[in-house]
Amino acid sequence: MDDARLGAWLDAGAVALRLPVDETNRAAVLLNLQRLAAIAARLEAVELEPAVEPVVVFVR
Amino acid sequence: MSTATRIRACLDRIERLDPRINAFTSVLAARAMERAEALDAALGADEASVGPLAGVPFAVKNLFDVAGQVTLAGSRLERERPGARAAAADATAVTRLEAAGAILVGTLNMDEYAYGFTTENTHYGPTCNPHAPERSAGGSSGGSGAAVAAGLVPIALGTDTNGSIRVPASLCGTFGLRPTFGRLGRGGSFPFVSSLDVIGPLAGSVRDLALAYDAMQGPDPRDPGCAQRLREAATPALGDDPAGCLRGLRVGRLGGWFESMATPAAVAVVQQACEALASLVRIQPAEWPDADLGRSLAFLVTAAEGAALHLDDLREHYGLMEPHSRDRLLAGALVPAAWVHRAQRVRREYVARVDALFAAFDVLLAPAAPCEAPPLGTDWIEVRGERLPARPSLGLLTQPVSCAGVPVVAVPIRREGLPMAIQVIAAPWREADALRVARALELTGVAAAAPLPAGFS
Repeated sequence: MDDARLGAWLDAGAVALRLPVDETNRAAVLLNLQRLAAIAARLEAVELEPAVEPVVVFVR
Repeated sequence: MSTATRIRACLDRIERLDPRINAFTSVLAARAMERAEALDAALGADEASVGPLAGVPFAVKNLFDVAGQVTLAGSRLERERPGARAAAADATAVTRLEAAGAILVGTLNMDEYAYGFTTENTHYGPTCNPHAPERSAGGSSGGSGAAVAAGLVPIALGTDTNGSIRVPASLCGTFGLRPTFGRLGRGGSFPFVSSLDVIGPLAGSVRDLALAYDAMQGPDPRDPGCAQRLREAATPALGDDPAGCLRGLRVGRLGGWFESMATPAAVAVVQQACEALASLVRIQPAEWPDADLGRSLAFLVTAAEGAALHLDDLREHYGLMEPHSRDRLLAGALVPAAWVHRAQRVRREYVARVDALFAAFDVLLAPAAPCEAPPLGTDWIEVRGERLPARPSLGLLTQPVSCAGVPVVAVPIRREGLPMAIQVIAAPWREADALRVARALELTGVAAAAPLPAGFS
């Protein structure tokens, strides 16, 4: 996702979720969101069979 | 010396020395003295009833419930929010340590809501590293690391979601244990990321670490994430012969990510440990599967779960929240569910690959933190020529390990200059193996809590 689309996602999401994002903190939030989007892209590149379920964390 | 005299001396020491490092956020003098006097009375009546930690003072990260105290979790908000209340009961871990005879003397500073690796807490002030007060003690259990390193308490409790026990243990030069996910009950502790959080001890010796760990084991009905496993005591496996401690263990040294994302100094302490063990056990090279992937998914899950937990407060009380982490939480609130779901699916295969590694090894060695303690206020650290954001990057080497849920002991290695530790990583539920290797390193003399710094002896 490019920075302009990510910025649009941030602005729309902040309104939808009633998050306090304004000119004082938008750049910092966007920077963090860019880091998370880069990580998500890395995870989406991992090939997974449809049968792979989320990790079970409470039983081992 | 009576228990009351020892605890009075401990409280005096905290009062005198803690202002230099700001590790404590509250000192529970009345409670501690009451328990000490009760213990002395019990000792007089029936010595066998007092437990293996009789009279040992300990302190807890201030996200553990202590009856009669507001559980701060490093925040101003938990104290000031309308309807804020003191905890009605102690956390499970506190109850169990006291049942073993230990005496709670106070609560300790931390990063707000455990989201940080530096304990630069805007509300309560930064905790300073006892070995270099202008530097970070690590985090988020920074008060715990500093209190043990300064000799204010021999044992402290912390929590570890992504490295919050191991990073302060490394930067402050103490031992620390992150148990297997689900081993120790988290009842009465303020959560951060439920699928990653564990509690554990920091201590000045392997024996104290193991005694505290053993005392806290057992199912915890207050924690749905706590396994229904009986206590498996580790202390009896810790002998005084290093070769005996290592007998039967297959030891590996992690390369790849754990060398390329560490400074030469961090790699050098692993080398020191390997050289100390070389005459006692064969050490084979090993490769952790997809460490960068593990770190990535832990980072994303943490941001999203942490934000979900604090969503209402982000909306209503943003101005009262920690400036160092609130914008990271806002970004986490905007992570789509599909990304989190994918991360947890990737994590399933990741955990399976990590478990497979332990078919060939019992214990793996790696650096704990990528560098020495950075100066307080540092925004960037440099690792192998790469400039990285300091606050999230101190967990570069711990996150890939903890998101697999395996147990780890942070072991401080003797060296010139600032402290550094290694990770001794074991297979799931094999904490005793990691503690045995830590004990062997301690017995060879290569590992020890960093000497008390000047002014703290």
